[in-house]
Amino acid sequence: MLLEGSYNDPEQINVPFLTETTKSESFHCFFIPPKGWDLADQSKLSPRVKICFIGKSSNNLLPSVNLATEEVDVSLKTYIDIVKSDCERDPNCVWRDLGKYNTPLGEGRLTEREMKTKWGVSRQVQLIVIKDHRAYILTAGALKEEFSRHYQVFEAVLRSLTMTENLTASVSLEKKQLLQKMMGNLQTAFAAAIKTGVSIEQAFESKNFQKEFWKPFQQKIINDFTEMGAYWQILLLRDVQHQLFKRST
Amino acid sequence: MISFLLIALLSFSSTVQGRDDLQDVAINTDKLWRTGSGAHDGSYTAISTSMIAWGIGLAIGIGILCAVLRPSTNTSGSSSAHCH
Repeated sequence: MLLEGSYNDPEQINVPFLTETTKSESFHCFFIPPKGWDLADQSKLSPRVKICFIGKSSNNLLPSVNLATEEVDVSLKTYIDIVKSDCERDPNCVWRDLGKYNTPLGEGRLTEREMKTKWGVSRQVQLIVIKDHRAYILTAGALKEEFSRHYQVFEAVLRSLTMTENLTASVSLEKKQLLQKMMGNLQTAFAAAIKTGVSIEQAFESKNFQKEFWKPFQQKIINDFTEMGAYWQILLLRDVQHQLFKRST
Repeated sequence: MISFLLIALLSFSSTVQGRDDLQDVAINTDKLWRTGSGAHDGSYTAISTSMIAWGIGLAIGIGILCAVLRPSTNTSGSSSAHCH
């Protein structure tokens, strides 16, 4: 499958977490994708693209939003100048600077590019922010003639870009308590699963732990934290799994 | 003899130093050249994912067509067998 489909199916978002548990990220940068959009298969994307969601359209060019990151040693201004000159070298690209855009990561720059494709002109807005030698690029795009229809949705996506050290801090107090309780229970269950003498990976993947604890936890995150969006849910599940593994070593 | 050795040593170390400097320049140039690839990849993904999505749609369409055609082919095959 090239697309992972709707993200309310836990089976479809389970696979990537196991492959990325060794990675520890001190900060999480995320955005809230539009409701009902499909999650693109990560394995088919550039490694710089952290996540991509695809909307629906009757036209060939589907609306989409994605977040890419890149390690950089340059200032935001220099980065923007490089992006501008890259686009100017491409005869199919028209680039525009839309000005400053404040984000929780710091001051960013909103840019627009129009690319000629065989399905028509693709218009994309790119919010670019640099924090701690890393560029975060949030791209929202659609067919030029459809762009105004998606404008409000894209604006909400751009506004939702945030960064946090603790993903649970982004939810309401009531839900935070519920989440901490759920995570505590999961930790206890995982500690018990490890005591059976199997490896951490085997304990995590065991049928009993998956069926009785991990899958219900995953389902609860997906069903009860819809307001946080699929990307936050994915990051949280990945982070919880990482914490389980880390605390058990 | 000593002065000859000193000159040889100095010229050798400056060659090595020169090579290191060149390497640093090459690394920095390469870094700068690659800078902006995140924005490029984000833009490319916005277009390419549409192709992927339509590819999936096409594959599903072909799959459904095959599934519809297969039983009808089997049916006609079995009915002709009955005729014989």
